[in-house]
Amino acid sequence: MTIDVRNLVRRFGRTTALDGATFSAGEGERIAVVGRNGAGKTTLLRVLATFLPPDSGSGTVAGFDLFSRSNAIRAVVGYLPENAPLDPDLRVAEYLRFRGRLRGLSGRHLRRRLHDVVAFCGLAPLLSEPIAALSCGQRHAVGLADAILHEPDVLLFDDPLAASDPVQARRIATMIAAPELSDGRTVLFSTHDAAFVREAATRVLFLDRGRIVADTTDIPPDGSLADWFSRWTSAPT
Amino acid sequence: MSSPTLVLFRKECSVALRTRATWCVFAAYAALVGLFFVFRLRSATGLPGLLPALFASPLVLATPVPAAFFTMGLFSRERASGTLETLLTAPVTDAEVVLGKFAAAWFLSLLAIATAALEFRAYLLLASPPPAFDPLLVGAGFAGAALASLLWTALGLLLSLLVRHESAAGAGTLVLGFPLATVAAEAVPAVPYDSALRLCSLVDLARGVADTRPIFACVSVAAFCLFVAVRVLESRRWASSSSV
Repeated sequence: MTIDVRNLVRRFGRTTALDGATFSAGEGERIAVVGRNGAGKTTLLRVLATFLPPDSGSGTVAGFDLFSRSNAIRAVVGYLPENAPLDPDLRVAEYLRFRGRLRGLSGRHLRRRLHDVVAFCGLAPLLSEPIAALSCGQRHAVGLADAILHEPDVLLFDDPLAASDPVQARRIATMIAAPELSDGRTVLFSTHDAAFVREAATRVLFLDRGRIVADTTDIPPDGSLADWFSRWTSAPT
Repeated sequence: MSSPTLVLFRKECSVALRTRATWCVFAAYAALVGLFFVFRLRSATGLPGLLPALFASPLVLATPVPAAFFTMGLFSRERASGTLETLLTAPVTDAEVVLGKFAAAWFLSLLAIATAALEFRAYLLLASPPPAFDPLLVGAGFAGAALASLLWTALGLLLSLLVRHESAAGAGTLVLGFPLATVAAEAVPAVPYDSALRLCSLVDLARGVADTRPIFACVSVAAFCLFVAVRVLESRRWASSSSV
């Protein structure tokens, strides 16, 4: 299993953002993490990305222990945080080069990977643009390129369609749903978009108040996420 | 210097050197040093012997300016833009992040200090008759300023981690830095040599007195600030998600 976590708990003061999350995921799986605002989606992804340490529980990502090998996990995880925060002082090409070097890529390997991710994410026209001048969808595309630059085993995307216009959101969704993206790796993404889940996910984790209340590969062919929530749980929508 | 530290150092330096504000700070630093130097020259007596100390004193006095400017946004800007999350999820340790950013800010402060060398050169060209002095002592004065800069840079970096707004971090570094710099630089020759303040004097270096105590004090306090900064960065991960 690429991801194997048991009873993960993360609290912020009196609030329990993650309350005993348990699941496993293998290579080639594309998992949508869904739930209402405040359900714990971002916290789960941040814990898996080792940005936040869990308070208790156990788990491994790509075979590395979540508690003791966080730096090893960072080397094999590609993470796109919510709203794709990128360094506004750099141009797109500079930013991707900087991120590649930070992950230990250099020379011909770095150039080859930059060429590949720029082609995959359609960033060629934007390479000399300052990041501060990019639209939200373009920032997500750059963030996606950054996440896959080092060919990670696990990809984590936190609401990658957020704040993008419909055209840009479709482009990002198509990239994430592309078979080559999940080839040999595990992809987890959070979203509020049912169409995106249908297009890109092979499995859905539904979080409610920090708990995984549904874990299913039975993705309804129609309806909204609210309808799915009602079907999977007895909670009112 | 490990590789991620070097990558961060290069990135911080290249971003800073392309902004106009950085060059304005270099100019402001040179202007401040020049102003202090002229002021001290006017009140100095027995010039040749005092010249290195007269020049080193303004160097040290003005060091909080570049240190405050180059450190104030190191972490507070990253927190405001959310990029700290992408940085801390790269395979980089907290110590490497702190060290890379610190090295860049200190290097930029040293560049600012280097601009003052041009002023000293200009003074030597214009002075008539040219004053006699030992160049090694002037070099020691620059070393003292670099040491003071090390301290303010470490302090500024820590403040940048502790406060949310970069302007507050910059103001804090100046508020703490200027009085301490005044003590460190000694009001040459207004403060008597037997003053208790002399224990902190960096300008002693410029007089050829190689007292290791201020050097040890500066390096120790800077190292302590950096150690605390690493711990604060680690503790941010345990704080509430909104304050990370």
